[in-house]
Order: sequence, then C-alpha cells, then structure tokens
Amino acid sequence: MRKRVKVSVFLVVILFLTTGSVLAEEITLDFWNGFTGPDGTGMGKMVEEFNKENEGEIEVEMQVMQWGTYYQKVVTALSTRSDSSPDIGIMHVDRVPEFASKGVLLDLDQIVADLGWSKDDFSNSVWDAGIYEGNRYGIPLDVHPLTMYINKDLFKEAGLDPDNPPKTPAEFMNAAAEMTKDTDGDGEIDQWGTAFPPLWPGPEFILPTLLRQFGGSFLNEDQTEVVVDSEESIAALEYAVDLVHNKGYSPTDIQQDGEVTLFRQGRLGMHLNGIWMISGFKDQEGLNFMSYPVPRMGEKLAIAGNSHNFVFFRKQGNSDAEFEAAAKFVKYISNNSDQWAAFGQIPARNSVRNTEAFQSLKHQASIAQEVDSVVFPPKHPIASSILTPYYEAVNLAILGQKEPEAALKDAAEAGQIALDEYLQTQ
Amino acid sequence: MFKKYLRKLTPYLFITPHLIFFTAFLAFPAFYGIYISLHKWEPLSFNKPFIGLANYQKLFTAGTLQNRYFWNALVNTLQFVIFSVPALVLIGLLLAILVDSKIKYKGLFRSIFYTPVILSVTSVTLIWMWMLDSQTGLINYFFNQLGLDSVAWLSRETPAWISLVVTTVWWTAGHNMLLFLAGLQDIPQHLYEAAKIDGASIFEQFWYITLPSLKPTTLFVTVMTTVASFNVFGQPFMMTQGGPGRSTQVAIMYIQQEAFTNYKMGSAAAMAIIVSLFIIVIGIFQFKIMSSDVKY
Repeated sequence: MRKRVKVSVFLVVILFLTTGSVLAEEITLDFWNGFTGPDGTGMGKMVEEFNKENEGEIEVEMQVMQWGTYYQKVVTALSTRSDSSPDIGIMHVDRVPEFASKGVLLDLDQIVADLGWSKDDFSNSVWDAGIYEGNRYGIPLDVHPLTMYINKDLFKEAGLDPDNPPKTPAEFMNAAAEMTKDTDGDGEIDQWGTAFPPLWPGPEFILPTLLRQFGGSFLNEDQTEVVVDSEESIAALEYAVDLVHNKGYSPTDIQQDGEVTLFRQGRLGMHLNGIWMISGFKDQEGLNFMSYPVPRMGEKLAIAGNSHNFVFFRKQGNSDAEFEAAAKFVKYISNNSDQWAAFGQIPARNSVRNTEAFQSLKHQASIAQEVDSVVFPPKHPIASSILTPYYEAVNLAILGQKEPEAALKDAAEAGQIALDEYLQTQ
Repeated sequence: MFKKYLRKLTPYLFITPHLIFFTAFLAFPAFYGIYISLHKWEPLSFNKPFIGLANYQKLFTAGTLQNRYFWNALVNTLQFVIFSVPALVLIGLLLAILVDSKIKYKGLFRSIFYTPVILSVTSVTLIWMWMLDSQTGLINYFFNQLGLDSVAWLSRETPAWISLVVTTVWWTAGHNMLLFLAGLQDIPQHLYEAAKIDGASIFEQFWYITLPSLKPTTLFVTVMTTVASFNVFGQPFMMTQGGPGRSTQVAIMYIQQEAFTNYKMGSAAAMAIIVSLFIIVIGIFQFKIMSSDVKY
C-alpha cells in the first residue's frame, strides 16, 4: 500500500514537471563564459535580472568556467555537436577568426542591423575586430587594455605629480629614472620605476604595445608573411631590453607575477598590467594607487588590449525563435553594461561609457580616455601558433639571454613555418 | 548444469568492475590515441582524413616545428627524469628508515613528511614560487642575509632545474617514503637478531639485510617514480612556463600546446605515443637489470 502511494506521488511529480515545461514553451539558452572573478558575479546578476524580466519566455542558463580551460571545453562541446553545447558564448576577440574559420559561429550581421547598431556606437577598433572575412561574428561587450598603475606615494616622494602621469616617451623615462633607487642604503636597488617582465603579461601585452607604438606589426598586409623581425619590432624589443639591463629601471629576472608583488609592496612606481587588476589592487591595504592609460613610449600611441565578445554558436536545429531570444539577451546586457564596468572592464559601447554611472568609476573612466588607441592581436585563424615563437623570443631577450635581433629572427622564421603550413592547406 | 556454468563465470564477475573501468579509461583511450595519431585531427573540422604515418614523419623530418620542439621537450623530460628519480628514491628511502627507527614522535614525523603528497600541484607550485621569487622571495632573503647574491631561481636554466627538482622532491618524496616504510616493516625481525648475534654492525645489517629485502619495493618505487617523472607537467607549466625560452618545456607541456593551442590532435597523439614507447622501453630496462633475483 505504502509503496503504491510512493509510486503515484512520483508519477504525479513527473507529469507535473514535464507538462510544465511543455506548456510554457520557454526557450532555454546555454550561455558559457569564463568570468570566474567578481566579473562573473556581475554577469550573474545581469542574467538573473534578464530572466526575471522575461519569465516564462526566455531562460538563460549561465555556466562559468576558468578561462584557462574554457576554449578547450568549448571546442570539445562543439566538436560533438550535441544538444549540451552552448548557444551563446563569450569569446576573446582574437579567438573569433579561429572559430569563425571552422564554421562554428553564426553570422551576426543581421542581428546588428536589426538592433540598429553601427560603428558609431562603439569604440572604433573594437567594432572592426569582431569582423572576419567580411562578416561579423562577435559583438563586443567590453575592452580590456593594458593599463598603467601608478603608486601615488612613490610619485610624490620623487617630486612627480601623481595627478599628471607621464604621457610622452621622455616623461615616462624620466619618471622611471626618478623612482628607481636604493631605499635602505645597502648599495642594491630595491625600488623600481617600472617593470618589464619576461613572462605574462610582458610578451603578450607589454611588448605588443611597444611593437605597435614603434610602428611595427605581426603580419604583413595580406597575411602571408610574419614580420616580427622588422626594424620597428627590433627597435621596440631593444628599447625594453635597454630599459631593463642598461638603464636598470626595471628589475631583471622577474618571475611570474613577481612585479605584481613588488607593486603591492609599494616598491614599484609604474606597473603595467591588465585592467582586470583594479579590484585586486583596491583590496591591497596601504597601497595608494591610480590607474591611467599606458603612455606613449614610441612614435605613436597604441595600447595592446583584448575584448570580450558575444558569439552565437552554430548548432543543429538553431531555430529563429532561439536566435531572436539570443539577440534580445545580448541587447539587454549591452545596454546595461555600465553595471558590468563596475566589475573591472571598459564597456565597448560609447553611450554606456558616457553615462554618469560609468564616469563615476574613477579607475575605469581614467583608463577609458584612450580607448580608441587600443589595438588588438592579429586577426588570423592560427594567430596563437604564429605568436608563440614571438613570446618565446621576448622572454629570452628580456632575460638577457639572447640578442633581440637574433631572437626575433628565429621567431619570425618559426612563425613563418606555421603560417606556410596553414596556407598550404587552404 | 546452470550452477556449473555459474561457477565458471564467478571469477570473471569478480574482475568485471575493474575490467569495465580499465577498458573505458585506459585501454580504449590508448587505442583511440593510436587511431587519432594516424589522422589529421582538428577537433572543429568535420573532415578528419586518414594520413597514415605523416604525423610521425613530421617528428623525424628536420625543419618542421614539431621536429624542433618535440625532441627538445623530450630531452628536457629525460633530464628531469635523470635529476629527479635518484633523488626521489634515495630521499624516500632515507625518510622511511628515519621514521622506522626508534625515535620519539614517529607518527608525527610520518604525517609531516607525507602531508605535501596530498596537496594539489597548484598549491605546491604557488608556495614554492613565492619562496623562490627573485626580488621578494624568502630563499633569496636568506641568501642576502648570508651575504650571498640573489639567484634568479626560475629564470636561469640551471637554477630552474634545481627548483623544479626540489619542488618535486618536497611534494612527492613522502609517497615513496610510505612505500619503503611498508617494505621495511615486512622484513622479519629475526634476520636482524641473527645478524646481531653474529656481530654485524648497523651498516652491515643495512647492506646485507635491509637493502636486499627491499629489492622488490625498490624496483616498484623506481619504476613508478620514473613513469611519474616522465609525465611531469604541472611544476614546469606553473613555475617556469617552459622558460627561459623552451629550456624547461617538457614533453607533456609541448603535447598539450600542440593539442590545445595549435589544435593538432593527430600530431599531439603521435608525440604521446612516442613518449609512451620511451617509458615502456625504459621500464623494461629497469625490470631487466633490477629484477634478476627478485622473488615475489
């Protein structure tokens, strides 16, 4: 008897659950991203609000994983082409060509036209970065550039004005020189003006910034040649090596995040790192810092950065209704991305950057002044394979273990082998 | 009739659970790996054409990136094996003898030496990276206090290898200690008593009783440590990122890069097969020279 009651209760529950979902005809969208930090909390809140507004119609299910393994998981999910693969994803803009070239992303030109968005609504370079071979695959959410963090106390001590940070090559060099010193008188430098680390983000962000500032690039115009051994590129790397080894304004042999520790300890004047460090530095007790755009160290201003983009994944049986729901979601998040900025990044949309809410975020608003100078990694499906040898060359040169020119020649050669192999298969 | 049949089946039923997991997580992936290595396997491409041994050929053709980086990585791995295995075995044995002897707080020491083993590689490498930091690390602080120059522990080739081996020993020697300890406790006490009566010194007892009795354990520990050292990944991945340049990039790191940065699964699988062959050959070699008179 008891058993029968249990079974019938069970059946009723099942019936209830299944009919419930059938009746509502709710569209469920799987949304994947790698926002594991405070930015994920922010995104989670926005998703929740969106779900509340669209209750019974659209349900966005957000899944967060580490960026470190995010793309591997996306690739695995997409390669099985199963139902469990994501509908919407966040993708760094430099990864878009790689995925677009494999045909797993949906063309978003129509969505953008329907939403009435155009180039004028976004910061220029980021808008173009989401286009691959004439079609748009990414809708930019934010821009996260390399940033200059300064220690205000060290600036004041050195007689510099922390509210008027270096903007030109001479000012930058001067500030670096002024703040490099031996504070305890033991004959060894223990406080540095700046730091050019041989590991992340040195090769990935700082040197690309210098490379572009000195007028160089990674690939030639028609993307058939790796040109990281150009005169400009060599000059950029020599500038960095000279600053570290001859001038001594940066510590040598910095280990992973060693310069971050120095900045936290108040022993680094100008720290170059991604904009995502803001909240971490805010939590650091006794650190009096401010964030500014990276100054011009070469001939023209350029700042290496990246951008989180919305992408829609191609799945079997993507319906129009799903597509529209996804578009609605992207529009909602984009319109409300000033909330998002509070968690670290610069919104890609001009209108959002001009809101009071965003302007009240002093660090982000300060960095955003030069958002139009942000440059992105080369747009190429195998960009990462081409760039790996360059990172290695920068690592060795900044460590002082290889001459910049020789290192870059080897990097260009290795990158060219990868590129040629790719071109042959096309 | 049915009963008889069932009785025959019983032993197979006992091994079935293991067989299922073994097949699903070891045998199948291994053979699938061989299958992948014969194809141009890019995860997002629909076509995964059969290309025979081309992925292997690339490894043996001068001028390809795979040739340049893979053998460099394999030589680096071999270096790590040569540096770390003797240290891990000897220190494991030493610790085992230490905590097997009649000292106070034996249990405490056993726990202390074993504790690092249960930590994740991320925690272990973070701890050591902080201690080894060039500018702010504890170890360089002590060096400076002693009047020595700071050492760039993770960005020069030789100190980087030392750091990686020391970290690995600190992390995993406790595991070998535990195995040796079990081996030590299996040695019958009467052998020692007889030796003492015959007037053998402690050193002679160790040399003629302990070491020979530990032979099976030593063989097992050495082979397992070698296999584990061949598969080293987390320590260099986190601590040196293969640097300076590629001088501490080990085989698994390069395979991972080829598979998940370059998305060349076929090529990566071929490399993995070659590494496995190396491990198998070295394992057989170790068995041959060490197990000549081991009785189980």
